[in-house]
Amino acid sequence: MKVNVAELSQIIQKELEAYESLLEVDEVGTVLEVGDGIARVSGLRNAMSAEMVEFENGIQGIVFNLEQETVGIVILGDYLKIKEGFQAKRLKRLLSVPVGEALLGRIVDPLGNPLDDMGPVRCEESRLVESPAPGISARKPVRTPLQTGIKAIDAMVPIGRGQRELIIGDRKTGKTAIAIDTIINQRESGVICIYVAIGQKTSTIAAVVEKLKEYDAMDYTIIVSASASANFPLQYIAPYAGCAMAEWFVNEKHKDTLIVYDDLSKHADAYRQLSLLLNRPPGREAYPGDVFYLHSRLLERSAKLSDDLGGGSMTALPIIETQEGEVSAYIPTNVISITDGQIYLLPNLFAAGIRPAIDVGISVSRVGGNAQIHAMKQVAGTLRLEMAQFRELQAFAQLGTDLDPATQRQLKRGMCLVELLKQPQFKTMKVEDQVALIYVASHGCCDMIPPGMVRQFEAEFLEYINGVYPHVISDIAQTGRLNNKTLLKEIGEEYSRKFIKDHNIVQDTEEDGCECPQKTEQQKPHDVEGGSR
Amino acid sequence: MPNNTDCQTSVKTEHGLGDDVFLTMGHKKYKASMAYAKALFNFAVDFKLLGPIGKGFEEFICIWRQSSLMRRFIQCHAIDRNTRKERINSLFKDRMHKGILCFLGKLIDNSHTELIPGIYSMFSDMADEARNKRRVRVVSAFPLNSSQKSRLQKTLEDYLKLAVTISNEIDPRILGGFVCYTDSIKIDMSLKRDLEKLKDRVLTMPCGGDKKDEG
Repeated sequence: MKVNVAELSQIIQKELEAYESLLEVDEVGTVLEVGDGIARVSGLRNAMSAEMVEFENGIQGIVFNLEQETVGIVILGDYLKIKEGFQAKRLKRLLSVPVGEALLGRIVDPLGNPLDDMGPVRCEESRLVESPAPGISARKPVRTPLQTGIKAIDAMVPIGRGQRELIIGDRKTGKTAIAIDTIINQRESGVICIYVAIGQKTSTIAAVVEKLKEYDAMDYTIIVSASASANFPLQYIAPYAGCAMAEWFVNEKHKDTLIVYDDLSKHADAYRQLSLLLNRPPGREAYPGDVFYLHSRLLERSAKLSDDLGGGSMTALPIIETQEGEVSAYIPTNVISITDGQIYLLPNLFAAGIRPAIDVGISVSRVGGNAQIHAMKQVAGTLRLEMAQFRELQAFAQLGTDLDPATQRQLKRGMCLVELLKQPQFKTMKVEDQVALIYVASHGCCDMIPPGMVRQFEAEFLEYINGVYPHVISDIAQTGRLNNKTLLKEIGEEYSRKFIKDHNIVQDTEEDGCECPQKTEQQKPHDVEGGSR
Repeated sequence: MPNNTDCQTSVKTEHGLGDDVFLTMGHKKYKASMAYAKALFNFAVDFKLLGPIGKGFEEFICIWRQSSLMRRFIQCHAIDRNTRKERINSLFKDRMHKGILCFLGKLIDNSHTELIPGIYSMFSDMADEARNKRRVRVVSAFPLNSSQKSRLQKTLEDYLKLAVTISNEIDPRILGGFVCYTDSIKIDMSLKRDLEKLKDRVLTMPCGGDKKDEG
């Protein structure tokens, strides 16, 4: 680019003529002590809590502790570049992050700085990182489902738009996998997704990004990364920054959003570290006294807004990592009590190959059937009960006693359902397919299929029904209702017979307590009744 | 005062602390110094001894700054505390108030003698505030003459609504104008700041690159 010197000189001349030197009065303090991301500054008598300050080398910080003579400042940047004796200037504003559609598909740090190689993030607006949650009148009940594409969740632990559903479990039980699958499943739903990685390994975040790219999910996703190598003040503000980015889409664009906080245990750890360094008194498990408020003020910002405010929603999927299944620890109990339900993942189920390793017994969604389409409500109503009965009978069957045919049938149904609820990662399923599948399975059409072949049956059945009876599936998708139950049952039975014949499955005898699919169907009310007793 | 060309030195003097040891001592010692200064100040106010104690402390600090022998003696842990206290008493009993001697004795007892400069600075600030006075450090690129000083003093007195004493420091880096520091307020009227602002404005202007390409 050629620089026109004359023009440049003219611009500078014009600027010089227009420039007016104004008196600039700043309130400054002096850094007394700095270390571990914390600075103690004397002076700044009028500094306010959560106010931004700027050190003389341009690094910014947040006023965190207001003490009698000094203020404790959390440094948002490389604290090693700040020296004792530096000046800290009050900026008289609160921390804000850039927001806007320019963030979609980007990987940013909690301050909105790009971490990918796609150039600067060009956002025209910014939003306060900490803002109050919507009030009662600004909200609307959660009634619209957010489809995760995971059968076990959509059927038994449904999540609604605007709900807070905790994903809790030990390490390596598939917590992040559920969140990623849910993001991938939003490809056609128009839901904007924000994945906030807190204290994760950079390699893990890179793997998540890679998977999202592979499934074309980055187009509607923002990654806010505060990896384990980021300093803990950034880890502390990361979920709030992600939340502010989501709020912009909810409030300004009236869109539905999904935000994943992965994970809040590490967020609490970062806050504990920060608090202890600021000499705040430690409480239970050395967490400060306001650790509940730390998460409650974050998760309360998730809401379904009223129609007057555009009807947007923010669904939150916070993740908590437990230690050796200890759900009664401080942070898990706090977050369980804040959220509208939890999906509990068990390591022994995971090891047994039941994936997602959801313990359907203690997983719960407090929004419940309100967050399901009518068809799913119809078919999944008894699924939970059947699974509970199966677990009870399974424990009883381990005693090795002789079982009556009804019990054996119920056990077989349970095993079949367990197999059916298994789902590989990144293989999300449409809700209409889920409805059809669960309906036929819960009406005994899989009872004759050996457990090892249930997943093969599932895949082939879905292929069959979508190919031969596409109107049944499209009807469920369009109306959200199961209008033709009889036809669906007939299709299930027809395909079951075909599958048994095609795969030369030897049917069990009457003495073993198993019946043909038709008989199972006829006797179903009796079975359920007997099981209840 | 020496030329405060590096930021650390300039910040240190901002508090009027005047001693390099003070700001590198950290938060705990800062808090301890503040506690001592407050205690001495409250004692002086309660017994209406602000004048004599302030004067005595000032005199002591002058000797402290000038005499390295004195500093080493007071801070020497190899010498018994009582011996140090007795020697200080015998040296200063006719020159300063008994209250300040007791205070120094307490600092020797508690092994906190290294805090003396910081305590003095904080005590002076408190005493000035009580007398409705304010010390203002004016940093300029060139030495201020007496008429400039008096004009500035009057302007600052009008602005701050307080009696002001000015101390002038030279820092060529500000290029022109001046920067005033008082309490935790910084009033920047330097040429350096103006040029930086101007630079920011020019850099953030739409440059019209396409047009230049054509040219």
